[in-house]
Amino acid sequence: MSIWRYANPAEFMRVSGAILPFAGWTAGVLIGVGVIWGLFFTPPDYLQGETVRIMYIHVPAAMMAINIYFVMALASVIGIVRRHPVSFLVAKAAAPIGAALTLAAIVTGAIWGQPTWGTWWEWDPKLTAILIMLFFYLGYIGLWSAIDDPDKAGDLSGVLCLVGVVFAVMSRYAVEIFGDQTLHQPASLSLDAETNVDQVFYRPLLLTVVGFYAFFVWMVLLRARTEIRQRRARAMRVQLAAREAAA
Amino acid sequence: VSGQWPYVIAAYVATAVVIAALVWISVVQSRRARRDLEGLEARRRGDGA
Repeated sequence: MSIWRYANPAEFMRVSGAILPFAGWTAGVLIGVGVIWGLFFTPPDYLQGETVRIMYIHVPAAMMAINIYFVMALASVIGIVRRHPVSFLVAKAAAPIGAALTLAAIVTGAIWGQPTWGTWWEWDPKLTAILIMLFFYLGYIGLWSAIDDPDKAGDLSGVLCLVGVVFAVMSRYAVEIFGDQTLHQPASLSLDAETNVDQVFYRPLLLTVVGFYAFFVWMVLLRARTEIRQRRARAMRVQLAAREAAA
Repeated sequence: VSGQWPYVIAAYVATAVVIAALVWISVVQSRRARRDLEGLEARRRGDGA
């Protein structure tokens, strides 16, 4: 059975309708438990003090901000190359979620930076790259809404999205690329267990990270379903107008 | 150390506001799209009858 059958809007509506409530509840429970655990049942950090608690929302928001951009880029490539309409709709549906989480990551980072670094903002490679990525998100959303023809809008905004991938990569790997020139510390979560934060912080952080992934799945499916319904409604309006004109 | 709590609270409130706005807009748009489509389907059925 091919994965491409899910690119059929009818099949997508059927499968996404089944996943939607599960994803929503999973997100709510995991984020809720992770935040309460992180806020009230973990100790302050020996260096950062209480502000370490901002990590439980800043890290998942920043992680998702970057990963959602990669999802959009992948969906755009599939849309451009294979002409699957659902791919463009998923990319379009993901953009406001990515933009919102990028904004949340920047704001929480600034609030953490003031007591820890002594500044709200620094033109550091990682911070600058994520700010430019936010502009790409906004540009992508703006371009979609500026073009009436959905195929043309999908193609052009898809190309814009691919251009911005360089800033998503920069946001993700700035610390590894620029080393000592960046103020930002290395990733708090890594496949290399040696570089991870201490276990006492790691467990609630893992919950909120998985919760944010579930939140993204919930939101992107909800928004993609809305897009499909809006397209159906548009097509039906044209049909009805044609029928009324013929009558 | 207690002087750091306002920063923590501000970060959580800011994130909650951003996420709540996104969810609110998405749910409202979803409900509107579903209602529109149902209305149009009912109209088409009515026209066909």
